[in-house]
Amino acid sequence: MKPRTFFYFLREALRGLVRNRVMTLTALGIITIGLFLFGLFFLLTANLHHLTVLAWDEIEIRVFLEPTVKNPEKIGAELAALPGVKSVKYVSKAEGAASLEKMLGNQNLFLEGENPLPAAFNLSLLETADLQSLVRLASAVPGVEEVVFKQDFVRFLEIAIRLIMVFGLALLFLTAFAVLYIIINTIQLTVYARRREIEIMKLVGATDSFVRWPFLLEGIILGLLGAGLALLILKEGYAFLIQKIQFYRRFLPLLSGPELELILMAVLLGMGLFFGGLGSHVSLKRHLKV
Amino acid sequence: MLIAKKLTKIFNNGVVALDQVSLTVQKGEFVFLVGPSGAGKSTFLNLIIRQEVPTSGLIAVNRQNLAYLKKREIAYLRRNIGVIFQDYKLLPQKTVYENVAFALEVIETKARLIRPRVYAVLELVGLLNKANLLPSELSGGEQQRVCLARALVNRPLLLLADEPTGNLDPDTSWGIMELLLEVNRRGTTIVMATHNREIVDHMRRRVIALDRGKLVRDTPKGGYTLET
Repeated sequence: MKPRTFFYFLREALRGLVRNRVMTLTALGIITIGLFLFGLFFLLTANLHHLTVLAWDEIEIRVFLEPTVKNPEKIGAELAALPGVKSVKYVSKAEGAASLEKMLGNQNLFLEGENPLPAAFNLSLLETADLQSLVRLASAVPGVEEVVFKQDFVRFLEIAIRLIMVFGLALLFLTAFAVLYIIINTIQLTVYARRREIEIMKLVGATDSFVRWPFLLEGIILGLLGAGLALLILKEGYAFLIQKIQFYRRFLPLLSGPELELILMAVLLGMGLFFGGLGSHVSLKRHLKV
Repeated sequence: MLIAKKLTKIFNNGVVALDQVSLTVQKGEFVFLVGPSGAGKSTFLNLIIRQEVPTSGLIAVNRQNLAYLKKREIAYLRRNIGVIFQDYKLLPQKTVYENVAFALEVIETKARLIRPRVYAVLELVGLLNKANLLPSELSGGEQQRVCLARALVNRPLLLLADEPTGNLDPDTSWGIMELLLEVNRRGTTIVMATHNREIVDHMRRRVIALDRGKLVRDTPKGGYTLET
């Protein structure tokens, strides 16, 4: 495409948006609301997932060793190599006793040399860990006496993570489709309002692509503007929320920071661009048959 | 310039709009297409600009069979055919100048050529002093002249006019007809569908009469009816 032609399309797209202000503002409002809702669900799902992952990080599997074990390092290395293990920490008999004493608030619980606690390894888990098989594999390592973990809590978390992943993704997909549907219908209205213009363009000899480009650019501009507005509202709203719950953040550590903003920006702008362009393309198809 | 052979158009609802119509229009001719409403006049014009496709038979413009045109070729065909409509089909938010220039912009005419060509054609139709007005600020006759200017600005070989005087008073209609005659004198072939008996009878040009889709009369220098 010649630069002159592209600038003609861009000029026509901008003129179209300005000349049909009412339709433009209506479409922009609807696209903004749609993308805002998508962004909201995105943040909600991301935070729920983040919270469950944090809880998962807190899970530890304690692997008690047989009292006769002489070389715990070797067992530690074997445990660290198991699939799903993030890190391994050795807890000696003395450390185990100190930890228990600290927990119970009772000094000198055991006399020196009478400490019955076995040495152990604390395993922290990767998000992808399959707990059942990990416990089975850890139990099978020579020198391991018993593997202990908070079974009910872990089960609950496993189910919660799976549900959030499945429902969160389903919700995001559904919202994305709903937003696309709304955008297509909205742009269809703007195209319908200008069907006469399209008809005349076709009758005086414009090619389909010549008719299509300004509308495509209009859709893309509307999509990007809508995404920008939705982003602005989400960013300010989320910052306000974070500030409001500052005090509770120790218990409710919400996601924040430039990385989250960047991801949200990429997702919403990408959706605005793609949905705006696709909306125009689909809406135009019927009217090009002149 | 224009050839139709056994041209038939049957719409999906079963209505036969054209039935085995055969005719030839030579370059530079001025032809009236007459007949009652529903006779097939507009369908015939729509087939020429490939807004409709024939059910059977042949229609060719400039020796080009329109049945086999690709999408892009349809656009190029239309660049050689100017069309004026009873309802003008002007863009209400564009000025007179922009409405005419639009026809050149959409076929990617070089920018430096657009302005002189638009002003030349506006001068021809007598609207040079109204170039910056919107269609809503013009009379019906003036709007039809803008439509004519838009049809002519691309220097078409063939000009189709579908009831161009249908919405105009007699004086204004004669003004439009004089312009069409002038355009025809300059070499453009004109096919004009009309109900205007007075104009057809007065101008004594070739008359092709359609009735219920059939060609019922083709008279050189004819009248609106056989008797006139």
